[in-house]
Amino acid sequence: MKMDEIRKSIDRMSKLPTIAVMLNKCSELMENSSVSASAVAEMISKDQSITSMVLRLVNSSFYGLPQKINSVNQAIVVLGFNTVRNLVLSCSVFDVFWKGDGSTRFSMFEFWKHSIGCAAVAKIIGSRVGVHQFEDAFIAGLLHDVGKIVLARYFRDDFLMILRIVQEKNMLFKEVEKQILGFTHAEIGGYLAKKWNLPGNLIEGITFHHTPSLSKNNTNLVLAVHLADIVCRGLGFGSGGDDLIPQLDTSAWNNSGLTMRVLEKLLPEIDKEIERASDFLSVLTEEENKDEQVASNQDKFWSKNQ
Amino acid sequence: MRKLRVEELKPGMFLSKTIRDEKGNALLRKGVKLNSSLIHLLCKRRIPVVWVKDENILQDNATIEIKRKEIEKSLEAKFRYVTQNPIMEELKSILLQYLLKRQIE
Repeated sequence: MKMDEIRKSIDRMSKLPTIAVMLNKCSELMENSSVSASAVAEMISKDQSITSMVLRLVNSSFYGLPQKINSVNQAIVVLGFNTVRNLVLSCSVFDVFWKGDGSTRFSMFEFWKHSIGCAAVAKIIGSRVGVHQFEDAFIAGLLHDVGKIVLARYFRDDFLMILRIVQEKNMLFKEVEKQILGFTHAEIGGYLAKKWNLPGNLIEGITFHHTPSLSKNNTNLVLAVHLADIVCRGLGFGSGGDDLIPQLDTSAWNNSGLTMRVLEKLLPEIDKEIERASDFLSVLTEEENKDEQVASNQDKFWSKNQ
Repeated sequence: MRKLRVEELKPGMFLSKTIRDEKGNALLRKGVKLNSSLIHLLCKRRIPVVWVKDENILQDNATIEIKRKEIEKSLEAKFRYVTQNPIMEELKSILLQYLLKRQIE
């Protein structure tokens, strides 16, 4: 398969524009300083599914706010434009892409766990390497593997073949992709990000997450995502389909000023943040905060096994 | 809290993290006190590892050594593509120390 075919298929995907429209409107409104918080809130509130997801997240233990937030408008006032924009983006992507591919070899839950873990870790590392908008590092981390979802969803046969080889031969996902497709999920994700008109730093964060030194203007943000991916794999948090650690881009690492000593000191904080990120995922998947759901699952668990 | 294999669980231990199935559905909520039939059911459901609270777990040197070997083995497997590289060796070493410390504390 050629990258051109993938591009054409992405161009044809019917559900993707929803995310693009939402994002563009958000960015447009936020870039225009004369637009008020209530105008942005009104636009977001038109999508009920996204609004309810955003409000659940805002009121979750992830943010630990002292008071209950009842509207998007209030969320913008309390958390700021950027955080809410990123929440809207996370929820829109999740809304479209949460469903699994039906493959027993690939767990969507583990995939999102890895993505959310990377998001949390990229934010911490980003703040250490001078990424000004480290909220963007969170989003880049969250979306870094989105190309894999495109493959799983729209190029199922290739995806399953790649996954089978990854698991049977215990290889890195990106290496098998290169062999089978001639390119990787990073390039697919990058193309999708361009299509969504995401900001340049996010496009680079996705495209170069395995090769941060190739980033032109955002090396440190991309390195934060790259390193977050490696650390999450090392700590065993979630899985992007393979369970191997890729080579660290030493050129980007050396230029960042980070040392292993600094990284070592960050590990407890990283671990805590990953734990918090699990709450974020629980809210998105609507499980943890629904006691009756847990109770019903517990009942099913009992009745199935007794 | 620490991570135990299901066969290491003992009645009376408390879950410190919610147990989920492969789809992410919660099966047993954190805080649940384990009894022998629950442990048996977890075995049957092939839940590999479970996080439990620290009370009532004794860690002797032999147990710590076993844990160290397990973590080392798992990291060796993950790092198999990047051997003989000083920076990756250093990374592996700090992860080993950290993961071991997390298990013991």
